[in-house]
Amino acid sequence: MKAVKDNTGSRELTQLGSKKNNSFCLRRKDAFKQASSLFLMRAILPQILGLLLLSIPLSGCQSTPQDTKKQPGTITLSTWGSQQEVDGLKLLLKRFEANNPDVHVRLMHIPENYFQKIHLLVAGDIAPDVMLVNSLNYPIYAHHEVFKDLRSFVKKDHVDLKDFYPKALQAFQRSDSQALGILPRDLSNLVVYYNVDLFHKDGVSEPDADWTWPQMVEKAKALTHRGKTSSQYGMSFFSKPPLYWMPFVWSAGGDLWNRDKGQLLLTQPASLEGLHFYSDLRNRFHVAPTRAESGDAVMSQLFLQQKLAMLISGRWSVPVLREQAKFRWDVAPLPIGPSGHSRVGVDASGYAISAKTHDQNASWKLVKFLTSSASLRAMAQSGLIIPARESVAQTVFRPQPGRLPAHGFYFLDTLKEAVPTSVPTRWNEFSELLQLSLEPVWEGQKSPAQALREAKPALEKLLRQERKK
Amino acid sequence: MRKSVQVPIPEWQQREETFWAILLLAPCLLGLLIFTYIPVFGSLGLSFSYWNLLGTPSWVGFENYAAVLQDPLFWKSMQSTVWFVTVSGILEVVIALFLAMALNRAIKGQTLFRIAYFLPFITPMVSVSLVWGWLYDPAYGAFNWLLQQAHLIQAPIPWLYNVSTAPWAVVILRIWKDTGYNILIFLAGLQTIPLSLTEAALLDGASAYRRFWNITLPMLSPTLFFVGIMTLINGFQAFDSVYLLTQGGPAHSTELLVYWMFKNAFEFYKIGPASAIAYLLFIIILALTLVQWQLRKRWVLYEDETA
Repeated sequence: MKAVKDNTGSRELTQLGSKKNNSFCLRRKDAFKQASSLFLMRAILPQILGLLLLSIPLSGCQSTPQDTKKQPGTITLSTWGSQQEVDGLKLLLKRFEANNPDVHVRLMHIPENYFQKIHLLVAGDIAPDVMLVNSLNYPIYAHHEVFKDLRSFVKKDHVDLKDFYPKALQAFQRSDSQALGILPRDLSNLVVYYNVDLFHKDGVSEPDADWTWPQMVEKAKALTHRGKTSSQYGMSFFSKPPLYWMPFVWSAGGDLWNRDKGQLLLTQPASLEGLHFYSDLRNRFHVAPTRAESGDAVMSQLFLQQKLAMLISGRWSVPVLREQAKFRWDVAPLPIGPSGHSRVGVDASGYAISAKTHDQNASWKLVKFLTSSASLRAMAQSGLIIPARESVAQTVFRPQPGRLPAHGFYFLDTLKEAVPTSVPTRWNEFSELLQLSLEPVWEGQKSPAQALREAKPALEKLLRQERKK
Repeated sequence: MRKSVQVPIPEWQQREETFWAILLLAPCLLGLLIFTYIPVFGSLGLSFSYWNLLGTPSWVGFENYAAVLQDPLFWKSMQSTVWFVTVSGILEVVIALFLAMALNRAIKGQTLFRIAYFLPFITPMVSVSLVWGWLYDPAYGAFNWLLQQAHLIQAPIPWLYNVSTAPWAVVILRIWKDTGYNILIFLAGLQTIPLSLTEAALLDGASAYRRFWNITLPMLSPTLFFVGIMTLINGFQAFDSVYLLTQGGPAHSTELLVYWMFKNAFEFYKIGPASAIAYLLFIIILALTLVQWQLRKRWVLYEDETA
C-alpha cells in the first residue's frame, strides 16, 4: 500500500467488516482491477458496439450537397411553389434527364421562407447549383457575386436574348455591373380578378380596359353588403407587401424612390394621393374588409368563397381559380388613376447558377433547358406564369373559347406601361420599416402625409446607404 | 451500523477514473462546446462586427451597440418585453401557487386535475400557437363566439389585430401553457412543509390567511425563489408564440426582444446588431438574477438556517 502522502485523492468507503487495513487495501486493489475489466466488458463495450451499430443507418440518412460531388453529374435545383408547380417541374426534369443521361438533378423544394433558406445555404457555401431567384431579392446576392456571369455561356450557345421581354432582363440589371446573372423565366404583374356571377347578381356592369378610380369605387360600393352572419366585400385589401399598393402610387403619378439621389419620393403630393385613395378603400368608402373583419382569412380564400367581388392579384392565382372556382370569373386591368395611366409593377424571376458550383456545364445545360421555349410553354400552359419569352407568351395568351380568363390578354397589355420595380439592396429591412410606418394609415388612424413625414428620416438613411455601396 | 471511512486511493486508480470520467462525459461536453459555448463567444465577437452572412465580418467596435441603443424600435421592443415579463411572471407564479394549494388536498379526481393542468406544458408550442391563432379569430374564432354567447361582450374582440389586445392575447397563451410547470414545482414544495407546523397553527386557532402568510409562504420561499427566477428567464426568452401568432403584432406591439433579435439576424441579415441585442439581453437577465440573489438572503428561509 502506498504511503498516504503520495496519493492525490481518496475515497470514502464503507467498511463492511473488521479486517486488518493491510489486506483490506490489497484485496481492494485486486478487486478494483477485476471490477474495472468486468465493467469494461459488461457495461462499456456493449454501449460502444451499440453506438457503432446505430451510426450505420444514420450515416445513410442525409445526403448533403457535398455528397453530390462524389456522384458525377448530380446538380441541385432549388425552387419555390405549390405542390402543383413542383409536380409540373418534376415532369420537365424527367425530360431533361432523358435528353442528358449524364446529368442527374436533385430538386430542393422550399415552400416557405425561400430566401431565408437560400441566404443561409449561400452563407454556408452549400448553395444549390441552380437557383430560382426573383428580381426583388436579386440585388443583395448580385452585389456579393453569388451568381455566375452567364454572358459567356449565352454567347457560346447562341441563346437569343432578344426573344426575352426587355423588361424581364431590365429587372435584373444593376447600375454597377454589366454581368448577366440570370436567365429570366417569367414576368409577373397585377390585374383585377372579378367574380362575373356576383357582378350580374348585383346588376353591376363588368369593368373594361379604361375604367377609372371613381368607377371602380362605384362598382365596389354596389357590390358591398355587410350582414350579421356573413358579408360580401367589393374589393380586396392587402397591406403588405408594397407590391399591392404601389400601383395606386404609380397610377397617381408618384413613385417610391429616386435611385440616383437616394431620395424617398413617397412624400410627394402625387404619391400621397395614391396612398390616400388606397386607404380610403377601407376607411372612407368601406368597400374593403378591415383586418378585424377578415381576420385570419386570406383574400384569395374570400374570393373563392364568393365573399369578395374583386381581387387584385397576379398570374399565379389562375391555376387555383381554374381548379377550384365554382363561379365564372374574368380579369381586367387596374383602373386608370389621376395621371391618366394605369401602371402596375412588373417583377421577374429566373434561374441563376451559383458561383461555387462544382459542375458549371451541367448547371448551364439545366438553365438553358428550363428557359427554352418548350419548357416555358409547358410551364405557362397551366396558367401559372407569364413566360419571359415574347414568342411563347403570344401563343399561350391567344384567346381560347371556353378557357378562363376570357380576357387573358390583359396580362400582356398591362406589361406595356408596367414599371420594373427597382428596390434598394436592403429591401427586407426597408420594406419592413415602410410597412410599419404605414400600418396606422391602413387602420385609418393617421394620414399618409403624417405617417411618412415621421418615417422619412429613417427610410432615407437606408436609401442613402445604397449609394455608399 | 455502517461506519464511513476515508480510504486513500492509489494514483494509478485516480488516473484511470479520470480517464473514464472524461471519456464518458466527452459526448455531452462536445455537444455543449459546439452548440453552446463556441457560439456564445462567437456571438460576442460578432456583436462588434458588421456582417450579413455573405462575405467576411469586419470590425466596427461599439457601433452596433450605439445603433441598437439609439433605435426607437429597440426601446419599443424593450418596453413590450418588460411589460410581458412582469405581467406573465406575476400571473404565472400567483395562479400556479393558488392552484397548487388547491390541488394539494386529497380530493376526488386529484390526479386527473393535476394531469389537466400539466398537459399544456408538454404540448408543443408550435401546434398550440397555430390552434390558438384560429381560436383568436375575431369573426370565426371560438373565444369570441363563447364570450358573445355568455353575453360578456357585445362586439367581437379583435384579439390579434389590435394594438391593445394583441399583447394580452400572447400573454394569456403563455400563462395557460407555462403555469403547469410552476404548479408541479409548487406541489413538490408544499409537500415538504411539515404537517406538525400546520397542526400546531390550527391548535392555536390561526385563520386560513394567517396559516398561508406565516407558515406556507415562508416555508415555500426557496421554491418561490426558484420558480421566480425560472419564470423570469423564461419570460425574456419568449419567441415561438410571437413567431406563430402575431409576427411582431400590429405595429410592433408584440415584438418581443428575442423575436426582434431574430428578425434582425435572419430577415434583415444584420448579424452585428442582432448579436448586440443578444448581449444586452444577457446583461439584463444577469442583473435581474443578481438582484434576486441578493433578495434571497433577506427573504428566503431554508430549513437548516435559523431565521
